[in-house]
Amino acid sequence: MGAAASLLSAPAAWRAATPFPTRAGLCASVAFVQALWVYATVAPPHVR
Amino acid sequence: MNWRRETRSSPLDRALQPLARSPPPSLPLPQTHAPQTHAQRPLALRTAAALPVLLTSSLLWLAFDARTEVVARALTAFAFSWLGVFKIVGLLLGRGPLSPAATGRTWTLPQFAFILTLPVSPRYGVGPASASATATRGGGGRTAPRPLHRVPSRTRVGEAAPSGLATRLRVAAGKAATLATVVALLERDRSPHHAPLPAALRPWCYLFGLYTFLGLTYDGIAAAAVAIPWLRLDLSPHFDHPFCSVSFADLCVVWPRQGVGGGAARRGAVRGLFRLSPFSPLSFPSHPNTGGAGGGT
Repeated sequence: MGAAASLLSAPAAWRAATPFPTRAGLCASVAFVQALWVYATVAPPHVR
Repeated sequence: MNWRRETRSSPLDRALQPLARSPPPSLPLPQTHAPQTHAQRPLALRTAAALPVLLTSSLLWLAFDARTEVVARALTAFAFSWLGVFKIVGLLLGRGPLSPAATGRTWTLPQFAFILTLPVSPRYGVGPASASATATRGGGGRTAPRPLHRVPSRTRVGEAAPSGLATRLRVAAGKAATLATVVALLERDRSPHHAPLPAALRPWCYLFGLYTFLGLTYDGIAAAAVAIPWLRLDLSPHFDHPFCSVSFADLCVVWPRQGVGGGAARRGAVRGLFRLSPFSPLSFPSHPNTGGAGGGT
């Protein structure tokens, strides 16, 4: 229960410790890297 | 020298030498970028590669607070946790805007990244080339993938398309003016120095404010995509005469209304993904090409 509670409270603690622009930029970076990853691994070759 | 000979000839070294010269058969060999190698990748491997992305996309909205960052949280949840996840799942299943089986088109990396990361859906089915591809799909055949840059020039962005850059900018300006008016009215309503709004007017203000905000946000992205010439990407409108819908199903699930939508070319992104995700697999499970967001007949 303690581990689950700390896991659930981790996003809130991270939000409190990180400013909004950093989080927004991180989300944008994650989305871009995800797009590259999906394009390279998930998409069939004739997508390209 | 004797020490080296003894070390090299030890039983442990002799046992490890074959493993050092060649990788063990259980380890996967590094994949090359050759298309024929990638084409043989099974669905299970592609699904395994997509699982971390699906998990991360589903949790990205947690980066924003629910009380003080409502807009960012809602937009992230909508764009990544729902639209993005459905686009990737559709790509795995041969459906959706990213799938060449459903669209008959291929995407460059910027186009692919733009479609996947932003809450947009490409518009296709416009022009004779796409019409023939759609007809071929309807006949049960499988069209050959067609790069976007081979689309005839008269169907490209801002030329003969019914929602070109000028139209999109005009619509976005109208929504911005409406939103500014609504916000001014609501601010005036909250002010103690002015008379409050009539009770019947306040819900309409919230309604138009929500619609114009969403329309301005997503149509702004679409206008930006249309305005980038090298991207060569045309996008479906998010709101296709929403006030003409007679029901929620008409708004989100059912095919575009005859005479209003103009077929697949004007199907909205949200409507297309509603059809892609729950409706089409249940209705046409044996026809993977019918579930594209904006694709099919």
